[in-house]
Amino acid sequence: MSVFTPVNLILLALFFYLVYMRLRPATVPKLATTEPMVFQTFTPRTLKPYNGTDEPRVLLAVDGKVFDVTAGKSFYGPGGPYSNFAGRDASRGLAKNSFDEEMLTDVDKPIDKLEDLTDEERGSLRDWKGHFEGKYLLVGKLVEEGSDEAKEAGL
Amino acid sequence: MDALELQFDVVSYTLIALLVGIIVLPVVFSKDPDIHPFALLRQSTVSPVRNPKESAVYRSLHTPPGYPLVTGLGLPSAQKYTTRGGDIRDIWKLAVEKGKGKLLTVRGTTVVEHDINTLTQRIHALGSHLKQLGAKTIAIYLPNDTENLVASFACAFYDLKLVILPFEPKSSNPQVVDFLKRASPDVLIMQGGQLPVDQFKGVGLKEIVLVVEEASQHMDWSEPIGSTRCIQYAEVVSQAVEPVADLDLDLNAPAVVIFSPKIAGKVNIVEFSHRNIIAGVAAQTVVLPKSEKYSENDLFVPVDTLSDLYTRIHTYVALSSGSTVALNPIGGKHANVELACKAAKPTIICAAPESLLEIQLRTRGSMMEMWHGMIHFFQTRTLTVQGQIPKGNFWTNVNDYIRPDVGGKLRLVFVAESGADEESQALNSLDLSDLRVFFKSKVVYGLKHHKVAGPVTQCNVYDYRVQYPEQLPNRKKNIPRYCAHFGSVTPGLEIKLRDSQGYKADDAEGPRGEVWVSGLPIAGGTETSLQFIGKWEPEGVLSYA
Repeated sequence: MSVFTPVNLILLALFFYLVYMRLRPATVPKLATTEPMVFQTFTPRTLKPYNGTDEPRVLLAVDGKVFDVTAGKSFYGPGGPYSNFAGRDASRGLAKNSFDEEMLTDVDKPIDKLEDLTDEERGSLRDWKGHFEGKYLLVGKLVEEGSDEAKEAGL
Repeated sequence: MDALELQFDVVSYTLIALLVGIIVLPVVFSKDPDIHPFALLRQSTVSPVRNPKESAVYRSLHTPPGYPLVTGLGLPSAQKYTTRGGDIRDIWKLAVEKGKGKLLTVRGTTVVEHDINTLTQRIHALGSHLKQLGAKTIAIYLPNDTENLVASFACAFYDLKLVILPFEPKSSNPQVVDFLKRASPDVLIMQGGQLPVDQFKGVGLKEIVLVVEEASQHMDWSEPIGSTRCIQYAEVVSQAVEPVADLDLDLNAPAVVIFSPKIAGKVNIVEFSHRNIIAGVAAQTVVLPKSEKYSENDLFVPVDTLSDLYTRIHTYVALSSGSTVALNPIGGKHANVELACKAAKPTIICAAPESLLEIQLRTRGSMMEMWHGMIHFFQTRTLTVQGQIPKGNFWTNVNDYIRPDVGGKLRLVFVAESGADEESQALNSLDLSDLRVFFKSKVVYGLKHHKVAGPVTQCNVYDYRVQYPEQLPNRKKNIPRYCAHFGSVTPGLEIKLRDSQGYKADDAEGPRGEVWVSGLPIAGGTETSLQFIGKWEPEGVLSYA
């Protein structure tokens, strides 16, 4: 009687398969990584598309700093209570605690210098800025169109 | 029907037994790896936003962006609910308080024990002697011995600037006089008979303190050289002195001065303050996982010279953690690790890459028999596949006679590549893995730099993976040794790579550029370039580009 019966051959094949499975090099998994965002320079005009509709990201500017508020899209994105601020300089509105359209400066006009604010309004703006710094990513700065910084950034 | 009937015979049953064995035995005998393999895939925290023309800021997992970097030892302070960073004096005080009350020196095969309180007295005797002399700056040119530490801490306690001259036990440094002229110290402490003292005539020294062996102390060492007095170390430290109350030190003033390696033919003076040194010590203390930290039960041997700041920081970490330090005067760049460790039986050592490579090549060269290679292969698999240090078993201990005898208690070996130093000996990932097998111990590779106190980056203690270099070193084909990666940033620092020489942050191979570090362990500032091109690997570890 031969030792090479079908049963033995199957068992032997199974044995070698298990040995191979044990000795084969393990594959290293790849972790999903997010590329870091590049700190950008914006002018009011280049910031405008970031309102959640034209561009998926939602950005807003507070006192010259641009924050990425995409995480809070339900507030700042389309249809949200503060959607007016998306892609705009929100400083005056936040200082005066008003979310109306007339608080915004037209994108073709120079950036609001906020010189007429009362001390109370300035404090309110500072609080809002602190809130944004703590909660959202600072991703850029807002500069005047045609300024040296804007030219340097190629705008 | 007959054809389908299964025929089981002896062979089948044997095969079934083997099958069950191969399924069950690994389950029964498997042990957890020292660290979950996925934990090694992300070793740094990366800031989510980066500036144009530079990589994101990389930080240690201990100090993510937004958290303060490690700056001090966190010692109890006079005020309630606050801590203080401490200064170099606190390292000695902690050694006295936490340690086992002794310091060892090794001479050949004999281990000599020194009472730590005697050494404290010597620190104060030497310190007050130097202070009375009106000295401000003290240079030391000493091997790894008690005198070296006594002089270093005397300077810390008595507000003197310590100049550490590069020292190698086997060769005398021809540049010592040149270095002395540049640093212009008031006092030089060196071994008697090591250098011809006549060459120090015009350097402007007030005094030379000579460390003389006991057998030669009867000779007259006190003959002045020009206007420089000579005095024996033993004479100075034997005076009984009342220790001073703690002086009010300026912790930001230069306290420790070292000389950089030759960079483009120039040696620079680098000055560290108390706070820089302490930040380096604290970062090295924090970076180790809890079970791997320096402890009271550890014995530390600096196998590299204490004139190397990285080795000195490790020695300070050992002292401040209460570990016993054993000093061996043969400590140097090319010191024989086996000779340095055999008698002292250390648990932690810090060695130069040169001496580790020498012992690795020597041991590799003695692996002549077939079983040497086979056992080595399986032990390397234990490291890379099972993620454990091969501590040896009945079979693998057959190889013990070819391994270097380092006392058998070794658990941690620290070694670092010297960044920007062209003469630094690179170690590749395979060398490090071999050393883990030979020493049966963890080997932690890092990056040091003459402008930074302590390591700049350090590999994870449990990272035993092997990254095969693209080309193995080959002397005939003139292929150099490619350096392994240096691990992630230490908690005292943050690193970014600035675009330079065509290397960019958005390169397809990963962010590359000139290495810029910032943090308190850096000499004389908060940000500096390490003057070489680095690359971030996907796991968040730094390597040469």
